[in-house]
Amino acid sequence: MSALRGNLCDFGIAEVFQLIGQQRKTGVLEIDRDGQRVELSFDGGAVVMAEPVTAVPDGALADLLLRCGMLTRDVIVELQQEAATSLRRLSAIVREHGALEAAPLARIEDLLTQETIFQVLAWSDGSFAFTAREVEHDREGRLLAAEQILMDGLRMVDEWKTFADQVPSEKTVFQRTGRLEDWDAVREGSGAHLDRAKRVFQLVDGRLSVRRVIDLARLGTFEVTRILAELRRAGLVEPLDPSQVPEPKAPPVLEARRPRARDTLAAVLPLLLLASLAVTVLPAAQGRDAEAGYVLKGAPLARARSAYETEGVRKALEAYQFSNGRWPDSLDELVSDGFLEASALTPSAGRPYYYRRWEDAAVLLAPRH
Amino acid sequence: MAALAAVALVPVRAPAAEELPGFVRAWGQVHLPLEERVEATRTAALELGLRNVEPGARALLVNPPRGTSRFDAARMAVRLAPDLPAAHMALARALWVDELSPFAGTAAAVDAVLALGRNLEASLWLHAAAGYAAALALAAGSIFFLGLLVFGVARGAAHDLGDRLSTQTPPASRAAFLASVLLLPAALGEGVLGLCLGLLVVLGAYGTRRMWISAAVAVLLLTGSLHGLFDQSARALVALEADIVALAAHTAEHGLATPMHLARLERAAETDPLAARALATGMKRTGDLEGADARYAALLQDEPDDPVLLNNAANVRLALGDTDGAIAMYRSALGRHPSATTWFNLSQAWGVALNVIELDAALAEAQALDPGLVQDLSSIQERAVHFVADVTAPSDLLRGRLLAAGDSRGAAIAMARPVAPGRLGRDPLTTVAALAAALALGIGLQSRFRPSQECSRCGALVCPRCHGAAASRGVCEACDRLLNRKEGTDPTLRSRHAEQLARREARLARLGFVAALLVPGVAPLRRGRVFLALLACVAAATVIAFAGPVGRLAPDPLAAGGAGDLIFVGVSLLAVSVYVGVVAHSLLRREGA
Repeated sequence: MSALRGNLCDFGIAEVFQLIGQQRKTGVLEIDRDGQRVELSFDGGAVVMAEPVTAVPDGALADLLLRCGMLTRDVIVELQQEAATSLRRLSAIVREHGALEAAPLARIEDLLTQETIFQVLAWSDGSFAFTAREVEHDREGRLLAAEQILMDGLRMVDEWKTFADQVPSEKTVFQRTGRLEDWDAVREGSGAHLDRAKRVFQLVDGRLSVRRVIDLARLGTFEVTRILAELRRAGLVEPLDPSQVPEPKAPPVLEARRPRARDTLAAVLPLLLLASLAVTVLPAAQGRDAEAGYVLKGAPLARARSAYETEGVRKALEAYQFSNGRWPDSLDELVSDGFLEASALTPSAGRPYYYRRWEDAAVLLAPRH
Repeated sequence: MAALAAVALVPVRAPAAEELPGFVRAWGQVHLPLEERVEATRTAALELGLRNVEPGARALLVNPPRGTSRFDAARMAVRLAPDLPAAHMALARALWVDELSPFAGTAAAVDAVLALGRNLEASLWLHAAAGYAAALALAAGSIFFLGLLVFGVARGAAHDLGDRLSTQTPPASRAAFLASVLLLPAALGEGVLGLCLGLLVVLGAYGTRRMWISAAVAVLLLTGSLHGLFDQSARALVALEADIVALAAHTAEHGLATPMHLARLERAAETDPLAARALATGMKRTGDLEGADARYAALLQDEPDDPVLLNNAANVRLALGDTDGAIAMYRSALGRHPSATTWFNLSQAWGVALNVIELDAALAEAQALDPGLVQDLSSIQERAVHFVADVTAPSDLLRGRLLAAGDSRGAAIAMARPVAPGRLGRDPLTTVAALAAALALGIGLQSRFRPSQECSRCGALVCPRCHGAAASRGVCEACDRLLNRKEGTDPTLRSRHAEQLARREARLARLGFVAALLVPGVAPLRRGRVFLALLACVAAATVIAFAGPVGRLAPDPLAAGGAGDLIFVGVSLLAVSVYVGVVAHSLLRREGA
């Protein structure tokens, strides 16, 4: 049962963060906007983790690990399946199998949290629900207070507006137009920001899209976009004309691996077998008569049925004769006088009865099957 | 004419007026009021030993004289032909609709149903039609039941079979592979029975012990329908053209024999007791008492204990003046089968012998058995002193002979062909052996590999090869961890999985309720009651076979009338009540659980 729920139009995301932070709440905040669901875990008012909710548990983390080139597709799919069936976090499975060291994995988790919060802070509508419950994690010492994250986030949202126009879209491909050493910031500056700028500049090669640069730089959408904007303003990079851009390499996505020949055969063969059974063999089987070791002569059922039909007509004739003192001139009189229904004069053999009457006699013959 | 053959022939020559049987002449007295005409006809018929004048009854039902109500017409039709079910049903309808007498109408309907057994054509038709519908119901119900059971385990079977090709086989291809394997025997010419082979193998491999037993019962029902009920139905279906001598005897006994019928009887009389009996009856009716006596004497040498023969032979003896011999024969007949007619005849013999005490005693015995008949016979006796009545041969005798006479193999095969067109359906032993072998093969396979199954909690497929130890507990890894091994699991994921289980439970409850109502057998199966599921499937198939046109094998030869419909509707209603009872019982128990 949710302790707190509402609409972001009435109660903004900043106020929700402030409330959780000030009250030092522990639990999970779910935000839903146009079918997109995001889940933020809090421990004592500090953010533990934030990630989009996917059909498969930890799907966003798996996707990010793949896009950042940390793990191969086959490994991730296998680990993800194990995580889904064991109700354990993907990060725990990754560590358990030694697929990644703890530190790089933690950086990816932080990146995912940062990206998610940055995305959520831009939302002005949607619904939210906070459920107070225990949140298990192993991130003591690496937690950030909700208010701190809120302040940083709001600052990023404000700053975003100042440089976002320099990067048209995530599909845009930049090319280098100068040397990094010529950039004043490089000559004058130093430190972490410069290292990040170098990493981004090295990834700009006229082939990778902005999205791929963001993924491979592992710095987050905000940071990479800001660096690209700065580089563009410094004249070091320029977006390519879309017509000149070679077909970009599609970013990796989590899909089933490419089937082998045997798998393809296994997929197609049964379908072909079933189709061939349906199309060719079954109709032929229906036409067999002698399989039972007894050759059916003519149509025994119809012949026997005809005996009952004829018996009915015979009895109707007798009744007509008793009723009228004479035989009818034609069988149609049996129908018109109500002794028989019209359908009874159409034997199952398909051909009509033979009927003749004389002064004091009548003959009825039934068609042979 | 080349395309026509004399399959059935009605009188090729109507008798001249002076040759007409008495009841026909009586019926022709159109100047008489209807009631008197009917009584005169009935009396004349009884004089000939005829209890029924069916053509007259049908004429009254279809075309009653002007001014006669439906009720009166039906009442007099019953009087003319008490063994004609159609007449009783017409009376029941008139009582229900016109006279607003539901109890009397119901009693008349019961009489109609009872008359079905006494009327040769009606009983043969009912035998054929009801047998066919029952066979269809049992066969369809059993096959549907097997299909339903297999549907429940098909996912696991398709998965395991698909693994034989490749572990990466997509689900649709696995399903197609399973369907292909199941259809293969059918495609090779074994039809639906071949499909059942595959179903039984799957059931053996994936079913429980109770499923195996219920499947074995379904196999027996299927075999019984293919080789028992279809055969029985086919016998009755071909009976009407099976034995022309027996049918001629039947027509002669009813006083409607034509020269063609008599010629057939003459030709067969030396070797066929039934023909000889009919000829003897005919001789007596035409006044050839010596000839009739000789025929009866010959017949009694072969069948000295037949009460009908003894009665009719005694009648001839009495007419020839051998009163003591007649009395001895009557007593002999009564010693074997007490009959109101024979007691009445004995009383008349005692009257000839001027023994009033014995006469009264015999008459009292007759009245105790059938006072209505004695009243009828006494009314004749007022006009014809010392009148005695013949007894017609029981329809059982004729029916038994007709059922045994025909070659019904072709019709039986044609009936079973939609289900069993191939070699497996040739005889019951082959059918049972093949189906049992398929089930046994499946059971044997179960011990040789660990089959996949659905998780009892979330419905996910659990494969021992893919999912390891949890599969042996019947639940998937996720459900097993949620319920039994929480250590190391994430609370959020646990909570999410629990929500999924709750949503699935609610969805299944809704879908299951609808399916339980619409799909036969689902309601009991959801409770694990496989035998009730089999009963529900058979009951549903019975409703379809008896209520719909599919079960109507042959048209009623104007004998059963609405009584046939009544039987079919009655069976349908019984099946509906069984089905509703099973479904309600299952649903209520489910709610309680």
